[in-house]
Amino acid sequence: MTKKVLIVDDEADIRALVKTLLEDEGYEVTIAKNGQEGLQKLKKGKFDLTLIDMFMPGMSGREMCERIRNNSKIKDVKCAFLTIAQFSSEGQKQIKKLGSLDYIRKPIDNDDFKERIKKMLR
Amino acid sequence: MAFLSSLFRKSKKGVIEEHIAKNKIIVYLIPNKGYQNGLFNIVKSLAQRFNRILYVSVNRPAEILVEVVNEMGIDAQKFLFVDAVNKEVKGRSANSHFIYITSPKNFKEFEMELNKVLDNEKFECLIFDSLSTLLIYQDESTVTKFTHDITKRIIDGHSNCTLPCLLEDVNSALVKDIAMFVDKVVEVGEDKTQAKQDIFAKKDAMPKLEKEMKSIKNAYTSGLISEQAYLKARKRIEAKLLGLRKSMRPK
Repeated sequence: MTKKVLIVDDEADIRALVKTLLEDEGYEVTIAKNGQEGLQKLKKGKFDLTLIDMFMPGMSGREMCERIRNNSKIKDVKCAFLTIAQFSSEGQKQIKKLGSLDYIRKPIDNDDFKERIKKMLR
Repeated sequence: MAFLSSLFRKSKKGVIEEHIAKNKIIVYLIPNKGYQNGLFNIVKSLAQRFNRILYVSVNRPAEILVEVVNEMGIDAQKFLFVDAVNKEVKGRSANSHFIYITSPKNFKEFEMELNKVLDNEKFECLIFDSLSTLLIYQDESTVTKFTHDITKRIIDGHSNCTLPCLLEDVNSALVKDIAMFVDKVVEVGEDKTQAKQDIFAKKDAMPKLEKEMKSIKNAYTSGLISEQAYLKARKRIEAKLLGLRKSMRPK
C-alpha cells in the first residue's frame, strides 16, 4: 500500500524538492505551507509520516509537533524535522521528547534523505 | 554613579562561572526586576574569562554601558560595544570602542550591519542584549531564526555567546525554540543566582505568565511601551495561557 507523507514547510523550493524526491520513491505526498495548514490536513487525512520545517512564521516546527502530541486524534502520527538548525545535545533530547523520529538537515542530501525516509516508514 | 555600585554588591561567584566554563552558547533568563544587576554579574564573569568581548546592545546606548563596566572595575578595553540604540550616529567612533549600527526597527538593515561587524571583528565572546527587546520589533519566528543564524556563526567561529532574555519570556515560543540549539538555558534568580533545571515545568508556568501580563500592562500604563507593542504582547501571553489551560485540563 502506498505510504502517505505530509510536508510542512514555508519555503516553496524545499516543498517542491522534497515532493519530487518522495514521489520518485513512490510515496503519495501532500504539502502544507505552514503549521496551521499542516494540522488541518493531519486532522482530515491519514498520513504515515509528517516532515516539519523547524523555522516557520506563525508556528514553529517544535510548536506544531507539540500540538500534534497533545491532540488525541493525531498524536500517534510519525514526525521528523526538516531544518537548517544545528541542534545542541540538549536540543536533541528535546527532539526525542517531542516524539520526533529524526531530523534532516538542509540543504538536503538526496540519497541520505531517501534512505532515512525509508527507515522511518518501515 | 553611586547607584550603580549598589547594584553589584552581591557577588554571585561560582554558578555562573561554571556554566560559562562548560557551555559555549548560553541563554540567561533574567527577571525584569533586577535585570541590569543580573546581566552585569554575568558580564563581570565573562570579562574574567575572556579578553575580547563583543557587546551588542539594542537596549542601552554604548556610552551608558561603558560607564557601568568602568563602575564595576572591569577593564573596558576588553569590550567592543555595538550600539543599535543611538539614532544619530553611524559607523565606528573615534576611540574605536563603539560601533553604531541601525536599530532593529529596520530589521533587515540591522541584521546586515551586524553581520558585517561579526565578519570583520575578532572576539572570543558575544553578548547580545537582549532577545526580549527584539521581540518588541519583530515576531517570534523572525527572532528565533535570527538567533539561530547568530549562534551558527558563533559555533563556526569557535567563539562563545551569551544571550540574555527576560525571565518573563520563559514560556514564549522564542525561548522554547532557541533552547533546542543553545547549549544551556539558565534561569538567573532575582537576588541569588540560581541555575534551575526544567524551566518549562507547567505548574510554574501559569503564575509566571500572569505576572508577565501584569508587568506588560504596567509598562504600557507607564508609557514605557507603545499600545501596539502592548497589544502584541498581550495577544501572545493570552494565547500561551489558553494553551496551558487546555493542556492542564483533565482528559
